Amino acid sequence: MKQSRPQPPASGVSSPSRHAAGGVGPRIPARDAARVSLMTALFAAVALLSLTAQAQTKPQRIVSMNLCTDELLMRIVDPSRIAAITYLSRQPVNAPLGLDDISAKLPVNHGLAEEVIKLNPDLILAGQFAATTATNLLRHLGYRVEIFPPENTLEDMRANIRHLGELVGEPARAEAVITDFDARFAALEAQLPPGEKPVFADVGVSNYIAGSNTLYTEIVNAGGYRTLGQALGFEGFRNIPLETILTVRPALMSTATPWTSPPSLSTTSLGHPALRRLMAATPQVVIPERYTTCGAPSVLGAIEILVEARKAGARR
Amino acid sequence: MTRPTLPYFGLLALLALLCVALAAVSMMVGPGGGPAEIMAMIARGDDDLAWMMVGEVRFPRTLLALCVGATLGMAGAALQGLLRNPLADPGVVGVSSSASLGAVIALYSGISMAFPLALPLMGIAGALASAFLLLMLAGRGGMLTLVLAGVAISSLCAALMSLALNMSPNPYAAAEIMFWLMGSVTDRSMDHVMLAAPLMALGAMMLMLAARSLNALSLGEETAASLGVSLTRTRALVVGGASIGVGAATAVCGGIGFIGLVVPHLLRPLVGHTPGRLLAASALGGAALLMAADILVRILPTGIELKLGVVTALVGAPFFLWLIFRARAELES
Repeated sequence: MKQSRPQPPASGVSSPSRHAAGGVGPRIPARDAARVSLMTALFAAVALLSLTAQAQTKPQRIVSMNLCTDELLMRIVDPSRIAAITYLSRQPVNAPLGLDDISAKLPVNHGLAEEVIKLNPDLILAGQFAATTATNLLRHLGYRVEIFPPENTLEDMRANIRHLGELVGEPARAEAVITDFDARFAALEAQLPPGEKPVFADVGVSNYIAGSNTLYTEIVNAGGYRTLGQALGFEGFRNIPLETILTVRPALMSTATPWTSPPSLSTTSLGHPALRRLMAATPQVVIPERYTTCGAPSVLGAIEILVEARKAGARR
Repeated sequence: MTRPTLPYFGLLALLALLCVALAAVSMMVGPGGGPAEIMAMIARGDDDLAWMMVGEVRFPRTLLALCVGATLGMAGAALQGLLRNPLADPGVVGVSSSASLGAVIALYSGISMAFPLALPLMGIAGALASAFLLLMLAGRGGMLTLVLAGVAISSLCAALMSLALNMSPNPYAAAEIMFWLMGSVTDRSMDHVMLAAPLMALGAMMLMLAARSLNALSLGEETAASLGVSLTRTRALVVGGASIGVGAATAVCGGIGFIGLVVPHLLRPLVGHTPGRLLAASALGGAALLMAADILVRILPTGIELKLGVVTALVGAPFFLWLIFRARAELES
């Protein structure tokens, strides 16, 4: 266990926390040391590491274990300080807007504890719900793991960017990212034609539809449309029966899925004849999934596509 | 053979009437709304949407429930007649799950994308494999062997299905095990009807050809042979017909259990315990039961629609237990 600790604690900070962790002195005989419970040792290790990490302001080997923190990290810190991002960000369907040059050069991880340990990181960024067994283990081993909640609004996104800026010691870069985002966002909003927002039916795999109070709906609204879920009047995401989808006539549609091959029932159901006919009668857009997965500046890509479609709709 | 309480053709006409009534109800209920909502859609000029909803979503669903229910009911009656075993049901003996496995391999490997007919054909191949195994075992053991073999085949196929689904690189595949184990006709299309219905019809024809032999077989194999019935031909027709029908049905709707167990038992006294007559009656009864179950999953306020197999199991499993208790009581008395 000792060998796997990323940084042996400096002696200066070690002694107060050892007292806090049960009064074990620095020069205890070996047989007494064996009695120290594993838990105490772990708590001490975590406490020591967080102290050393705070003392050392800028982490230099950062590992991101979450698709969404990948993007924020690449926008805020220099690639030389990133030890790894997730393999997901390398997949073409998940490529964040305008970061291909950076993500292509970085090493990747698959959310497994072992490969992260091998990288010996001094900061690990993870999402709240994915790879929790790995992040719990890493934390127990004494690594500094910072959990990022998923962004449900663009305001959450700004909060996560600021928080990451603090963690990596780049608050000014974080503010610059937000300022840039807000400027581009406002420029897109200014192009929207006036009038009521028409319905945009983005039928996801298994007829997955976004309702109100979701990041996705905030993005669609910013792009000048209402979601089908808003028109049907529900909150959150739901799997909607095909019959219910057919009760609302959309002005714009999208059923893009990157997973048509190899097939699955869920993805082939998007080829239902009724849906095909509705698609044939309705203008369509393709919004890369990545532009709506995370609350990150890549959402501008989705908003731009929708604003263009709205302008085209207004010209018709 | 006891005298039926109802004339045979009267019974068939009644069951057919029930099917027509249930099909009509099935066309009128659904998440998209009842007749009033549909009329409102037409009134506001969305008649094309209303047509898509009723014609391309509800109609194929109703048609599939009808055909699949008929196939399962008839296959159950035929297998019970051939094996002279009241527990022989495509679901119980593992024919449905091995058909699911065949269909899973065809679909998720991508074979059925290139060649759509591979889906029902591989379902049929899976069904045939377990039906032959069943035939080999049924001669020796009796009821217990049959049920145990069914349990073994079903669990093996369920495990192999999970394996195949988990190995698929498609992230949605793994969640679809419920469809294959429990079955559903939700949001199926006319494509599925066209794919499976001809094969289900072929299976039903083969079973009907065996009807008279099944009557003779109910007197015992030797008596049947003395009456000029070829046991080999009867077996081939029943096993082949049931496998083709159930294989094709399962390939498009997943494994729906217990229809083939419950329906023949309910109708047997009404046809005077004549196995041959039970076939057509069980087909109509199975169609009615499955359509009723499919109407139920749509009107129950469960939030997420239940799988059909959940409803049929809720009816069928207690019935199955009751059959076992009764069989045990008969053995002990």
